Amino acid sequence: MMSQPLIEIKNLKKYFSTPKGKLHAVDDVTLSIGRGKTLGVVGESGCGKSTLGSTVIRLLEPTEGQVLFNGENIYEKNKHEMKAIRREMQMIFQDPYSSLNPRMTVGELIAEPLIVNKVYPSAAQRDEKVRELMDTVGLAQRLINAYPHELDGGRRQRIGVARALALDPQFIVCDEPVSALDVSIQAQILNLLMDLQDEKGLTYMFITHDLSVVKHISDEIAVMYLGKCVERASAKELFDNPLHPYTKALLSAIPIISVDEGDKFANLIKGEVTSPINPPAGCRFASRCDFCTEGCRGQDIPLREVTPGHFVACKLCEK
Amino acid sequence: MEAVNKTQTKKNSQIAEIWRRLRKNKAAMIGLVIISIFAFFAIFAENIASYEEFAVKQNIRERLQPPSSEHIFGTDGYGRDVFARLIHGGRISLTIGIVSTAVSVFFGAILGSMAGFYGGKIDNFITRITDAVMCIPAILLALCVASALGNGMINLMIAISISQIPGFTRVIRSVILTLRDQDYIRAARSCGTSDARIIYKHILPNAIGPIIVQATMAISDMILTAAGLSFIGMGIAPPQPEWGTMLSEAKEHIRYAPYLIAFPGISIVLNALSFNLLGDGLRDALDPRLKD
Amino acid sequence: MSNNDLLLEIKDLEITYRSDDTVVQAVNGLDLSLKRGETLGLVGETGAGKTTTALSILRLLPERTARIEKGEILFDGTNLLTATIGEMRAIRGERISMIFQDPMTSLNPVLTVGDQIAEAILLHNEGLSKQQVQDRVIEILGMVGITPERRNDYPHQFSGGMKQRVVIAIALSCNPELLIADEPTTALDVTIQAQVLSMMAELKNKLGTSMILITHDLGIVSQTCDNVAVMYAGEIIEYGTVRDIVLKDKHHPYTDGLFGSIPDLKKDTDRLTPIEGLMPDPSNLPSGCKFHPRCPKCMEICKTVQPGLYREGNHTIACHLYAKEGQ
Repeated sequence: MMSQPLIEIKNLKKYFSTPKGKLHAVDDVTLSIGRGKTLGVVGESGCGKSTLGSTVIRLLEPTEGQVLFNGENIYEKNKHEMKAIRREMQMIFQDPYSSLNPRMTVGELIAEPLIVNKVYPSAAQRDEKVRELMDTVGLAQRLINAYPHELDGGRRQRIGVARALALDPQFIVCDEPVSALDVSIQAQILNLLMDLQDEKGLTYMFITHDLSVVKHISDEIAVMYLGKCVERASAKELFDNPLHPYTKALLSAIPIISVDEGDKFANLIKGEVTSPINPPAGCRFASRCDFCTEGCRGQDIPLREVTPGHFVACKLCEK
Repeated sequence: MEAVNKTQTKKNSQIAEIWRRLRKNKAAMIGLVIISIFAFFAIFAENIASYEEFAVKQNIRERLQPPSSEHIFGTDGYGRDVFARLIHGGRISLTIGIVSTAVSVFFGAILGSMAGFYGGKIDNFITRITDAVMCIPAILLALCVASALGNGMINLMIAISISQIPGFTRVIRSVILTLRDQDYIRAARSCGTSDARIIYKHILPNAIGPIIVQATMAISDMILTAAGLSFIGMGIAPPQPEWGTMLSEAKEHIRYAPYLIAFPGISIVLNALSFNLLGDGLRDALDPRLKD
Repeated sequence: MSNNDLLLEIKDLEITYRSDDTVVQAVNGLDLSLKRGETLGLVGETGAGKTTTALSILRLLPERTARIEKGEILFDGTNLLTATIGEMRAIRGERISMIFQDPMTSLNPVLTVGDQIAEAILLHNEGLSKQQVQDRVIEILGMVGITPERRNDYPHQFSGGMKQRVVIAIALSCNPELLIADEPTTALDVTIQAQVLSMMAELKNKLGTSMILITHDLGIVSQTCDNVAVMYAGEIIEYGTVRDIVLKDKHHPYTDGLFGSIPDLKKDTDRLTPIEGLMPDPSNLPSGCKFHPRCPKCMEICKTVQPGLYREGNHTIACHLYAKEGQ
């Protein structure tokens, strides 16, 4: 008996108008995220995962589709109602350098959401909450008056996490939160995010291009290619049993730490990503796919459940 | 563990850091010193040499005297002490420069913010008008406005401000365009920050650098424009000792009293140049890429 | 190991950056050697000094701020640090080439790709005719998998991966003996990275080029390199063959930490074991072993005495833990 998922994305589309035509950044994506779970959204540049993240929390207005938060479509909310919902949905950004206002101190940055939403009537209470948040994310209290440029990437990202937690949200979109960090710092921040999820029952949408990271942190993973979700399964299932040719190629492209000859770059995908502007109907991966058949072009291929909980959008897998 | 003191000093270190970098730029420091000297004389002009007695009162018997111990810069065609006129004129020039710049920055910030932040039709509208006004050479524009409004310091300041507003609108608009898509602006939106708060709390403080640089350059321009307009009789009228007016009056005596041209002329050049050098230095000092 | 075999030998290299009153110790007593035909992986995180080392080989460090305090860089017997500018110019591009991380800024946006390759060729082969140069340009583009017509396109018309291929083409155009690649695929998508690395491996084998590959990715290193040097705070703290680093269980605690920070694709780990703390401030390095403040196995001696090299065959580790076990 499954309780209602916290986030339900239904047929979401986000198109951008460009001089050359319509850019299909997110094209008819349907996903859901259970309470307290992490959905990993994985893909390479141009797949639309960042746009998806921004649209899901309504930093961008959708072209079509719905996003249900606790059963209610957030796109139907007016500005006032939206402000209340925004407190429940926050975002952690990728670049620890550009996501913090360089003219604000650590304390001011973390306090800002509290000020804007008038959470605490007094400055003293607010200050206490800021210090509490700094403790939670592992920032030393003495840094409260420091400026971002004085701190390293890892600490800056902790500020981003603290800021996202300030309003006690239920849902956080993590847009490549560790990609810009050194490997040893990445691990610290990932542990922090996972600990916070355990403690507070947070729900995450974790966007990344790094497959090893996404496996570690996600319960379920959605693979995106040119605006469409091409495969979706539990983390374990996706890695043990990838079905879509793109997923397979993606997994085999990861350089793993091994000296076995067999582990070296096996399925190299040929060619480059095709244009997301006015894409033709049919599988977007067709031109690069070794297994492409007649039926792969001409008609969009929907996600189908192949085994319980494992969805693929591929003609070959529809047996 | 670092001492608590360190965090206290760190809050002010940004400004200290900028000052430290500025100090190393010799040209900028020279500019700053010169400006300070002129400012000092301008502020204390009345105490050093009374306006009525020396700058304005005519004294035909002592006219056209070369520099001496009594009149260190000599006297002009009406017997007035050149030095006294010079420092009172400095007061006028600096006032015009600073006040006009402040006014231009204010209106330029409003227009530039709206254009940069909202984009679309508002941006188009404001930018087209700005472009059109910028096609007219600043001094001609100031001239037209001044001749329409008439002589006088206030009218001159209005004229000069108007001619500089497009420049600031452009600069501020472009800074806002750069900053608008920064992640920290998106972060502010994602917690429900209003547009107004985003502009004044997040964008404008980060635009201060380019604005300050543009402002110092503008002051320099304005001093020159004011002098130019006064020179042709469109700005400050005699007997007020504006440097441009002084130059104009010195024209006829140029053969035998070249010092009458030299002193106001050098003052104009030095002032304009100093603000320029300071502006250059500030631009470098504020450049975040030069930070550690 | 005959003398002819050794292409590059760096001995006791020390480099500092000076600005105002701070002295940044970027490279501290680095020893490295590279044989002909070998691919060496130089691994480390930001600030370890990898790029500084690479730039110093070609003497491309910023003149006013960087200072090479001491050391020798012997390239085929010649000390590059004492060579004249004329000699360096003859070496750069022709005998030693370098490619940088960001393909977006490595190419001149106002010249066509063909022109940029041609420029590189002409710099070192003055006598060639126009036709000969064009032929060579087409040949090189073919080597990196780009069709001839594209030589008249501008960099902005290429994708990131293609741009990096062009950069590699330029670097290999004069058939250098040594290629230094500074994080060549970090900015690329993982599938494109696989293409580019595979291509580089092929070319390397075909042309017999030696390579120093700078990266922070242990996976790439294990797939493409023969030997590995791990850098920390301007020193090489571990060196060995790929098998030594990947398979053996004796490692420098930092290397162990790096492995522990990376989620393993083959296993399920609950929590990662990151390295405590941060990279040391290069203007204020710790005494003794530079890793000691972060080391889970730190001993008293580590705080004051610089560790010597423990050696097992070709595998060297700069750590007091192993020094006790004898040379």
